[in-house]
Amino acid sequence: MGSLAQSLPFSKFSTTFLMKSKTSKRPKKILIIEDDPDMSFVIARALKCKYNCQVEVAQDPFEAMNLMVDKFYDLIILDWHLPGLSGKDTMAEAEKGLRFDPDIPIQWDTKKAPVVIFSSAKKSDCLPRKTKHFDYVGFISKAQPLNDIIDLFGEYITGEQKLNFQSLKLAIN
Amino acid sequence: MSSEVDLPPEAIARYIERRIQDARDCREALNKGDFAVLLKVGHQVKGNAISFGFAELGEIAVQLEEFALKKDISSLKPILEKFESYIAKISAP
Repeated sequence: MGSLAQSLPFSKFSTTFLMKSKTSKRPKKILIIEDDPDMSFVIARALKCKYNCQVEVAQDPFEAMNLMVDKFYDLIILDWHLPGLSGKDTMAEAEKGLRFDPDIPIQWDTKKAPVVIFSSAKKSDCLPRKTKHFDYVGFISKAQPLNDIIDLFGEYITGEQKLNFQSLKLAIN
Repeated sequence: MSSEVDLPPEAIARYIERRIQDARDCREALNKGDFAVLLKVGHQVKGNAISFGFAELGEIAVQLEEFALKKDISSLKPILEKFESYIAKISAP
């Protein structure tokens, strides 16, 4: 990574989301960006049943971008390997869309949407970009039992996730 | 909150149906030398097999992805056979 990446204190960006999520009772709005229909189905179902979330699924980057300009999400679950664009490029394109669309929901101007990278790739291979509208709060490996995955997502949804994101790196540009 | 998440039987059945199709697609791809298909299937199944209770399939998929990435046909052949026989085993009535 060297000159291409820099470490950032994720806790700095994540505290607002975590504090608000502890006090809010409304269902969390979750966007799952995932091209694997089996994974998106079981994750969406579990988050609805277990955490009473409102879940939408985008199967490709373009569907995701269309959803994001219409709605702000309390959590975005991002598959890193998507058809057409990588997860990093998907969020970069979404960032452009949010910057130039005058009709986006006001929440996008006042807070960042937390993004959890969800991938079977190595964590070190998933280098998100620092952006204005998205806050990369963590990485969850797909290659583990479903109950463990759901419990980990639950920690982000309920605000119990410990602030241990310092080891994540962000790519520059 | 750590209660178990149950998988509905129809989701498991759909999962197996997709893997049957994956096995067919991989066989066709191997015959054509289309490593992108093998890579995609290997990567996807590596990520989803454990969640559906098929850890061994996930391990096979790791190798499928690895050899597809290297375009290693001689190693891909036995791994695809393993993949196919595992799918045949779990899809048997």
